[in-house]
Amino acid sequence: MSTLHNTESQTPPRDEFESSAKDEQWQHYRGRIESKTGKWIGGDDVNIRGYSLFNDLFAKTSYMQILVLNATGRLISKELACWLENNFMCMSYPDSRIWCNQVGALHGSMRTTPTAATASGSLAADSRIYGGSQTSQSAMRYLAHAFQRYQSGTSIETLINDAPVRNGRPAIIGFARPVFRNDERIQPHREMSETLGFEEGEYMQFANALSHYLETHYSMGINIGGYTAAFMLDQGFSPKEVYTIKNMCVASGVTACYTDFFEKAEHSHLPQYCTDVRYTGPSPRPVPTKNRS
Amino acid sequence: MTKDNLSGKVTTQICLEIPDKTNPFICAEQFLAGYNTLSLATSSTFVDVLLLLFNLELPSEADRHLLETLMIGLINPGPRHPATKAAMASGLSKTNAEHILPIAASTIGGERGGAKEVFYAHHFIKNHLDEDVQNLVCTRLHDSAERFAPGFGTHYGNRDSYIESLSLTIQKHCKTGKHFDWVMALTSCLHEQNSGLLDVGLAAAIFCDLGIKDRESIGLYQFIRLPGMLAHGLEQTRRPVSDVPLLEDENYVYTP
Repeated sequence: MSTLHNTESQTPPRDEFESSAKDEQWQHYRGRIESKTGKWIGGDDVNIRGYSLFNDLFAKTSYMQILVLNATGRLISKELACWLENNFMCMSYPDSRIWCNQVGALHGSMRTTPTAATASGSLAADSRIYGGSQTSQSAMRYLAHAFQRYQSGTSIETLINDAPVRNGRPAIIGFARPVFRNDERIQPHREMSETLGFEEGEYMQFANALSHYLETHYSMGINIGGYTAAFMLDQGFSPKEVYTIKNMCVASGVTACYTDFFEKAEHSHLPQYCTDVRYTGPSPRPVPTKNRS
Repeated sequence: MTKDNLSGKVTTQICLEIPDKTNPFICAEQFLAGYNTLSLATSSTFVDVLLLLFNLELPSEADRHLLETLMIGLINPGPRHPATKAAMASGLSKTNAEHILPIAASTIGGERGGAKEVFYAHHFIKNHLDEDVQNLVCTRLHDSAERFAPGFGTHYGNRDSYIESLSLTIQKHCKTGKHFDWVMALTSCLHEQNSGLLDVGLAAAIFCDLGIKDRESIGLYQFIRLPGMLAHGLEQTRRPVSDVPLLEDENYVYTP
């Protein structure tokens, strides 16, 4: 074995490095963390965005209020936290046919830890077509931009006509749904919003107008992504904030599907014959023996 | 619906599994893009088969050598790289060993210096390949993060010496293509601004030359970088957690 090389005694002092002075900002952070988010004061308290956990928040706020506070720095009302918690319920169906839940079920089938299953399922739902987090960001960006144009005088018809077309219909994130056209979550959300005292803001009214046009002309309407996008814009959140708040919103359904298959036999989640996979690649061929050039 | 008429089949061009005669769930013989896997195992290199999976054709000797050289050059981002640090912090804190690889892979998937930037660099190179590099350098500015473009910029405020050496090594020892050559010409112009090629830009250039597509570039970059990060993370599982105590309060500055 060669001689071990210990860099500790050989690292020259800082001022012996030739420096362009461009590295100053990293010098500043070497061995130092600066945070505006929070601090654990061991044995005493925790501060979250300026609030004392044990004096201001603990047993006084809900977990969802803390989740949003951690994600955005905003301490939201109990009503809005309740709205979001109910919204999360509708993003985590315990049905292992749904893509992220397939991941959870397959983790269960392979007996991973519950954490691996839930984290992987949540990663799977970080998707541009479903999942409620990235899709909320996309829908909010679309709605915000379209509303700006609408306020500048562009008609709903023009806005719809300007959207890309897929399968003969406008492809607008937040309107229509990958699997079923009618979204069973919309009406309960409208009722919940009213019960909690939220009035329809300008983005929701605009989203309803878009939805009405799409229903009339294309038999498609707003889905939960579009509804959530409009509601959260009316509450003053940015698309990035909502992505951040909702990044684990499918987690509970994934965990459920993980537990469903953890106790079942190995390979019990949709086992496949070899021929259940359609192969469309090159036909069997011999491996070339000569050097390839 | 009968069990022989399932609601849609998964389709792949990559792998053909021939069932066992007595049990249709068991694979008796496997083919990768048409080649028997066991024949590949005895006549090809790992890198040959890796490229076969992505391109559906075995690479030329020169392409295999090019990717293998890049893979060795990038096999370990080093213990100070954020993704390696994530793996090492996990290992030190006794995270389950099986989680270390996905933690490292996920961290290095980011769009700032990670695999997602390889994707953007891939697009940048493809989209600007016909442009004069001098003209490009004159008409484009570095952004606030000191990026000239995805894959190009400064590393801790300076040119990345290691990546510069690796790219010169590749230039000297490998047969490269038009993407790498264009990237090297651009890099040369950027040196006047003390800027240059980053690890993600180098990987993107070579992936372009090898015919690797944009999305595939993301995962392949993660894969190439993983061995070193995994080894570092696992090494730390055998070290005492007291090796690296949490930062002292005086060095944690909190200003809400």
